[in-house]
Amino acid sequence: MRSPRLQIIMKKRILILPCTLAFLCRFLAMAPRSQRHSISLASLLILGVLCGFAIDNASAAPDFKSSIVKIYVTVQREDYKAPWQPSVPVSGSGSGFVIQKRRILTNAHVVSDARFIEIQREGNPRRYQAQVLFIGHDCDLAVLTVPDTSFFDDTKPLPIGTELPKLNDEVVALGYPMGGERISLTKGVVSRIDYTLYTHSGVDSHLAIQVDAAINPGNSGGPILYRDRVVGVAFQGIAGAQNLGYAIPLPVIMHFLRDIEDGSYDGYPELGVLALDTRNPAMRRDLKITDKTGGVVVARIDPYGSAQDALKTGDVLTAIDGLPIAEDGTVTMNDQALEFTELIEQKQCGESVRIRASRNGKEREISIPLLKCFDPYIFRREYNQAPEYYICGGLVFTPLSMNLLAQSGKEMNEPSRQHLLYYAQFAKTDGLYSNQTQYVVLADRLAHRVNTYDDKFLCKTVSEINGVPIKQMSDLPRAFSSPSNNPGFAAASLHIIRFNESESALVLDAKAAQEADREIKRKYYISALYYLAGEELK
Amino acid sequence: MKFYSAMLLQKSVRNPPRPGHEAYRDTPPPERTLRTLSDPLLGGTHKAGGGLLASPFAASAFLLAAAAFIFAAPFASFAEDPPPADNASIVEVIASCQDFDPQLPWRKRPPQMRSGLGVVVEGNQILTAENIVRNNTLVEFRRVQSGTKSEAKVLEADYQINAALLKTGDTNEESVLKPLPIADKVLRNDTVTIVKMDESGQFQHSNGEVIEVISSAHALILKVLTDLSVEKAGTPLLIGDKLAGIVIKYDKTTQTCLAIAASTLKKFVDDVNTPPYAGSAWAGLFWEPLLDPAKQKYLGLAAKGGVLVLNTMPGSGAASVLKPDDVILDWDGCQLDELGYYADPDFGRLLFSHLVSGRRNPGESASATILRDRKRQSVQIPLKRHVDADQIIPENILGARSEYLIEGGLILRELSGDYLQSAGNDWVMLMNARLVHYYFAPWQFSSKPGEHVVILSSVLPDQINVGYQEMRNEVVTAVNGRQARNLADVFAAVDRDGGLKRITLMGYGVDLVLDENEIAPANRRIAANYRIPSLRYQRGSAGTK
Repeated sequence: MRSPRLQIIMKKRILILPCTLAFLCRFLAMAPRSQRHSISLASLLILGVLCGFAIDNASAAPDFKSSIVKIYVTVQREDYKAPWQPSVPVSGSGSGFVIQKRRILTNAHVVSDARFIEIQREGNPRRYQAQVLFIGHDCDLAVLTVPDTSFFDDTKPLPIGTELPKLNDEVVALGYPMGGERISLTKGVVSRIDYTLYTHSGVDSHLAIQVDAAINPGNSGGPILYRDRVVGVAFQGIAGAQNLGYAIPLPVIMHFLRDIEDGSYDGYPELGVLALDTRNPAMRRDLKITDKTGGVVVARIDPYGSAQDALKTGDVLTAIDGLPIAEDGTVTMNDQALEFTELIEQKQCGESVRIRASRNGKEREISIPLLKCFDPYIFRREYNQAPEYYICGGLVFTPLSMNLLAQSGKEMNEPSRQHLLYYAQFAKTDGLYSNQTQYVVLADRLAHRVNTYDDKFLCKTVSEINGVPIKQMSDLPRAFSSPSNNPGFAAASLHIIRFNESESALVLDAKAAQEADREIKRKYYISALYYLAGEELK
Repeated sequence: MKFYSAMLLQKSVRNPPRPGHEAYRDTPPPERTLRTLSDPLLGGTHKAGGGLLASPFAASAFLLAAAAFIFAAPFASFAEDPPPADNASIVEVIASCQDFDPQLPWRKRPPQMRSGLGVVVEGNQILTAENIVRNNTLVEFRRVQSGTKSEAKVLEADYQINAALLKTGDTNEESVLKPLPIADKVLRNDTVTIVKMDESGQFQHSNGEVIEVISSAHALILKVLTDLSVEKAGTPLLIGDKLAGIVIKYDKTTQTCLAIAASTLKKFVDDVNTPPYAGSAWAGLFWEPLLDPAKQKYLGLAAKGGVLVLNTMPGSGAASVLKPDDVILDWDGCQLDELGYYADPDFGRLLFSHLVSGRRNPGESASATILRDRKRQSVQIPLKRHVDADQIIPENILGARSEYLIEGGLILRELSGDYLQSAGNDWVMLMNARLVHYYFAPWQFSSKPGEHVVILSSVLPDQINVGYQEMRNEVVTAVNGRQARNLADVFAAVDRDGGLKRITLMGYGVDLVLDENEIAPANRRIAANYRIPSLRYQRGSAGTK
């Protein structure tokens, strides 16, 4: 079940996602035929040849030239292994295009973690500073604006299409890919329209258009035009593959634009059910399904999903918004078979979905409100957020996150870290979530006399400190504030740190740890001993 | 913390590389570094890394070049004297072996040839390395400078020690063999002679120096520095005219080999010749050095010395006596330092695992003084033989045939180490994360002896299992509504109910159901279609359909 390595198309910064990302399929929102993306380590191929037939005259579409912009960004990623300081700033560029209301649409990954953004129009030497208005990491789209409105003089918003092109329809990709400075146009046809993993978040799958036009690093954020209208935004490719580029299609673009109309981006709602198909006749009989065909059965309910109170495992879902669900989980719409979850994709948080479900043979129709998703266990890649950490006695505690896993890359192959992969994938499935909202990991040890013997605890997850159960990072200050008394040696007070993966506790001399931290702060250039979400950086 | 040398041994002895074309291969199977339990006497939060095992063996052409170098090398040269051992004391052991397919246990992999050396010991028995004769279909030996191959029978092969004892049935050959006595003990800094057989069947000799005597979980191991490249497992080390050890590993980069020491070999041979075979004793605990002063303070340890108990293995002798956070101060009257070493009267400083496997037998018990809740107390720890199959998740290093049941195309089996590792070098990331997690932390699955992880490993597609065919590596919690704590439970449920009607998988709120009227014809169809000779294998049962 390996899928090829997807690669985000952005010039100079070829974001190679560590394979660990791939393992974290978003379990609970998927239909039976869900894709588990597992990206092989082996396919670390970098795009070789530059864009195939870049044409430097946009005469084919003279009107668009002024609306397709080049976006210069300076990005500074957070360092999840040394969370007190972000990593080295790097510069890159992507593409974007002007849409209505003096806005510019581009990819989220072009402007994520950006410290400085400039925009340049074709034929205009001036660079304008830009701001991010909205960013959707789950759909890899962002809307920017330029405060200096003179930028928009002579620009013409690109018209957004109304329908998706079909297979074999000719499309044009515009943008500023590698291989030159000026605008580039490539042509191709729509090769496939299918669900694909969006590598920017690493966990979200949405519809994508696959085109055979050359799409290369730097193309990211550029429009895909069909009959002079935008039908897609170029966003990722597959390393090593040829004539294979992906674009975010119209429905996803429109979902994003509608979502931000109210001034905030809520993202996609999750129904939160794992449904199995009911093709097996014996299973159908067992579930008391009387119809000859149709229906999927709920095998698991996501504790953070919208269906939590409305559905139960064993419920058979037979229709969604009036459309019958086939036994393989598809619905037929416009002569096309879609996964029934695709209908939920088209909805916004706050809307609801009508589900016909039968329980023990009794059918009922229910309306399930789709909620904004607050799920600490999605393990989506995070951007534009300072990582949380807490240092005590040189021991660095951080929450388990996709970013931490991704930064660990191939090290995740080490048995000593394997449990982190397990928690990331199975915390909800195996009922581990009820204990906590974050896994607190002992991520690093800043070597000091006080922690010399503590390497063996690295990568383990904390269960308890000084008798205080650790359910999230914010429990740490309180837990460390009351060191345990030591019955044998009254003078010494100790921090007793227990882990889920070890019967043996880590013991720190509390006073020595406090003194050590002052020294560690100075020696290791640590500006603050902790940062917890919702607090000011200390 | 650095690993200490015994950890390397744990790697080499316990998990000898699956032999491939050569006597042993360069890439050892993936190692369960975290799961210290499998060799519980060697504590194990250390990383069992290290180069000793990593190097490939030289091709024969290279050997000639290497041999030429030996003259210039510091402390090994061809012995000028005639070889101390008679040519009739060392033989080549050639085995044809066939392992079971770890994925599909009704299949066998293609047969392979493995060869190594063997040493003739008293009673004209041949002592060699276990991994040469593992899963053999035929074992033969030939004397040096002789083309004649004679058949040999394996009397006993113990993978924990990595030693095997063979017996020839050929009386003609037997009359020519000359037994070599086994030395009583070999010490650090002793010089030993390595005898190797080259391509043409000639002997080469070189000296080596014992640089370390190491106590691994089940054997005493000699680490020997030598210039001679040693390609064959079972290569003998001689001290005077006696057997000092047999080589089980060689590392080209450090020019060291690891050999099972004479004392272990002697114990093994005696054990085999006084049936029933007892094997080596094992306590079943998991420990680590106790170095951290804060931790010592926490445990109320006044002075340095003693090791920390991390965990015990379910069903072991230690499990009934010891608890995590106990400090073992002395063992069988020997005081332990904070790294777990004691002063052995024969061999000097050794890890205390030698007090178990080297000086005790299964069925005996060891005495220990421990510190628990700040109080000293004496305990008796019963010792047993470690039985791999008793683990929650057995390693199955031997590649024995796994029990399985195929019903309606659903392949049910118990999770084992060899099954996980068959996914290749990146198995930790490639295999189902839950199964890998249980493998490294089996106590998070169960701590009850006798329980195993029953899995639905995959499905052989057939019309009866439509809809279930993409299920892979799911944990089975119940079969026909009855709890499945191990495959025996599954066999029992299926036998009682006349087939597999329903299975419950961990994390799924609905069961997979099979049409009970269709199971029998489906089984016949699947067996014929996929040409499966037997849809079921249950150990110790004649009822394999």
